[in-house]
Amino acid sequence: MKNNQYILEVNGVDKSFPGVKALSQVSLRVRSGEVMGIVGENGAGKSTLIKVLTGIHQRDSGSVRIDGKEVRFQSTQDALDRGVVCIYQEINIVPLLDVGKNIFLHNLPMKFRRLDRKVMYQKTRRILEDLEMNISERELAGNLSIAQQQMIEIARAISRDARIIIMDEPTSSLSEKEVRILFRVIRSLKEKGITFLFVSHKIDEIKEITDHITIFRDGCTIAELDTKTAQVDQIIHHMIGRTIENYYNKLPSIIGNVVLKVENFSGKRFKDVSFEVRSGEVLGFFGLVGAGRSEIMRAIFGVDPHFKGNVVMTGRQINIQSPKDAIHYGIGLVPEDRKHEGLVLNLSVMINTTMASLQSIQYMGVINSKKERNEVLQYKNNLQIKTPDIKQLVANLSGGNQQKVVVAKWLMNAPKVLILDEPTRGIDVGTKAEIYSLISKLAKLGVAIIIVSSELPELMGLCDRIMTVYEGRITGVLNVNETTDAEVLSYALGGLNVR
Amino acid sequence: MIIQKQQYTNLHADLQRTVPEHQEKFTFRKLMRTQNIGTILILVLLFAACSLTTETFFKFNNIMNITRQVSMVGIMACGVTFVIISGSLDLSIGQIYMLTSIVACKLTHVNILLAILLPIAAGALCGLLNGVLVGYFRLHPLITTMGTQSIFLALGYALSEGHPIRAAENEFFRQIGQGNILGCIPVPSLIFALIVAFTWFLLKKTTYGRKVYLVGGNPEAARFSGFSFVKVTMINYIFAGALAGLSGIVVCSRMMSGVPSMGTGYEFQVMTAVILGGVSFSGGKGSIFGTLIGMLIVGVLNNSYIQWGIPSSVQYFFQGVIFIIAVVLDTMHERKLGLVS
Repeated sequence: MKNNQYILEVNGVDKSFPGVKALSQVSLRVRSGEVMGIVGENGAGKSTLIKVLTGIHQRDSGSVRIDGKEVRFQSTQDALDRGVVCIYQEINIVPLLDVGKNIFLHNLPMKFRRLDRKVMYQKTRRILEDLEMNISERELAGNLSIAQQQMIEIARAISRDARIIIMDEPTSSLSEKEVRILFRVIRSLKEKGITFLFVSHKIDEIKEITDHITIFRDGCTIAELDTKTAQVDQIIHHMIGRTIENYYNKLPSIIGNVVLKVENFSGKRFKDVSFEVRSGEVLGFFGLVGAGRSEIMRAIFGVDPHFKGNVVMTGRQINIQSPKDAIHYGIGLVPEDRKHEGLVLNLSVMINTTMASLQSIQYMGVINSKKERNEVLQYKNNLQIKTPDIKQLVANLSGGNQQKVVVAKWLMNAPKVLILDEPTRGIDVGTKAEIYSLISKLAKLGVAIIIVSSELPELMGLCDRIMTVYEGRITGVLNVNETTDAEVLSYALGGLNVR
Repeated sequence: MIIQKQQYTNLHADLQRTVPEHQEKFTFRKLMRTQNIGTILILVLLFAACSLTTETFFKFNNIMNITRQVSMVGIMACGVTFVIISGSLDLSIGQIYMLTSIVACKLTHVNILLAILLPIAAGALCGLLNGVLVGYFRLHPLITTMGTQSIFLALGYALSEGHPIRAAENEFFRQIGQGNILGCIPVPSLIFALIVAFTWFLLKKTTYGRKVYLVGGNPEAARFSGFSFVKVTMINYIFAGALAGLSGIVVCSRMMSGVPSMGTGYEFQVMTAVILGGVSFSGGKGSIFGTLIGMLIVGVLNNSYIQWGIPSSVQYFFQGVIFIIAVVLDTMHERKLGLVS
């Protein structure tokens, strides 16, 4: 085995999108037959690198070498021809075809212009045996478990002579037992000289399976560590080690009585969640994408059902079955996906602003147009929503101004509790600062505020307390004044002790 | 702690700079960007062409005749406008129209008051079926109303035993479809005008109309703001069905008979008018005014076929071409907004 030779070398790669520098001078070297772990916070540039390596995006500058030869992939097919395959978080199989056809989906063995079933199933059998998978080659892929479906994707990669397999968050939907199986397969393929890039948020898994770790932060490769000698706190330090800009404008909080109390709340993707938020308090929810933070908020707001648990609002137990109920009790939700959940893009700024509070501008079902117009104009001026006209379609506004419209929509409803899910995602810095100051002012008014975010600095700057969520459970409640970034992150990664 | 609403509004008062109110200036370019300007132009051109090429078109009586002819389809189109803006479709509307006209015909033999009230209720009931299937069970509106279309057709045949049936002679009932007000304005045209005014008000000025736009524009965002897709969809179908029932009464009175084969093809005319009028198939967009213009284009065209003596084969061809043009215009507009690729 050519153990000391670099199979993949990435040198000084840059990649920009309009307005964002996604990758800046990224370098990475992977030896043949090793597992390279790639870690970093959300938005650190891991996904962009994968896309550059598999030909979905083209790099702006820098070099990528495979076996010492410079390559420039124009498509995923190009990447595949050189043996680079990515297996994404979302499983990519055809549920109504059998295992064999799924594995050979892109290169079905043919004989006389017809599918050669015999050869296909023979080859399938061999690959499945190599992977020690105990399933029939004629089973429908849709009947397999998620882990088995993922194996099918690995098998497909092998059938196409992949030499570098990139796995993007492969364990996010697997059970502990299934993770064991996956790791066993990775180790055995490693023996055969196949190289892995293993992208994950889960530090413990990274520690277990990888040989080296490359750490990303803000689009740059910060460090490369040897897994054997790397410490968990060292990894986390590299991941978050940025300075916190002081633009949060946190006002001193005047914390009052408990407004919203959630007890033993369980739903599809979260379990036994309990917390309370007081008037004037800003409560943060931190966790990795997919940890169940948004799901908890959606269930409280009545968008998704919950199985059990109570919600108590100012001392009175309430039953929320739909967003309509939540709005009635004075809860507002600025959703994660503003374009799909927060706004009706092909309607005007005015209609979008008043949509949650039509009650207040109507008389016997008839809308008071003058009142509507005046109220919307007030919010437009107050929140500095930049639009030439309130009759303008929301689709024509920038992301930041769209988000202000969503915020205005809830302010107009005078909420007692305002939940903001990723309120600053995809928003320019200036508008971010405005939204931060708005949040602080709302808290000062006595509104209880819940912020869900993947950006830790944002939560550290804005919140009074932070709750960490890991795999659908609350793993920690931390007082912002008495904690550190590393502590919050370690709880969010499943309670690893790093102190 | 009770927070005054004003405090929310003035939250950012410190940041506030007065933004000068945008002055609305009337320009030609603005006029060209007005909604429906394209269809208004088409209507005007068509009108001019018909007036110039035939002697008989531009006569008061003929114009009134056109409004009488479009009123039946027009009343239905107003209801269907609600359904399509909320993001659904109704292909069964023509058969509801036929079914209710037969119900009306049969009831004229029993009681005139019932013959006016029950068909509307029957139409609403048909709409309820559509509403439950599409709204509550979330079935695809196109396929579902294609199915119910056949059910309503079957009911019509069963009620009439497959034959045209005559309505009982009644002077008051006859007036609904054939009478004139002030000696020159047809009663159906007047009913149509009232329905247009009523539905315009409902859609533009009431909270219900607002919900129709919101649910059609983005059902998910509407749900996050506390609106129920199920409720709005059900009410819309029931409303459209009831208006088809009203249309059924008018046509029954006009022909003083009911024919089970009559409804076929009406959903097509309704759809053409609505889409020509700028109501988008993807929901959330359109107006009663647009539908009215679309309806008038369809009406003038139908009249011009007779004026110009165009054979049926060519008429159907034109109908198809115009429908496709309407769809093309709709799609182009959507693409310009970047809502579809």
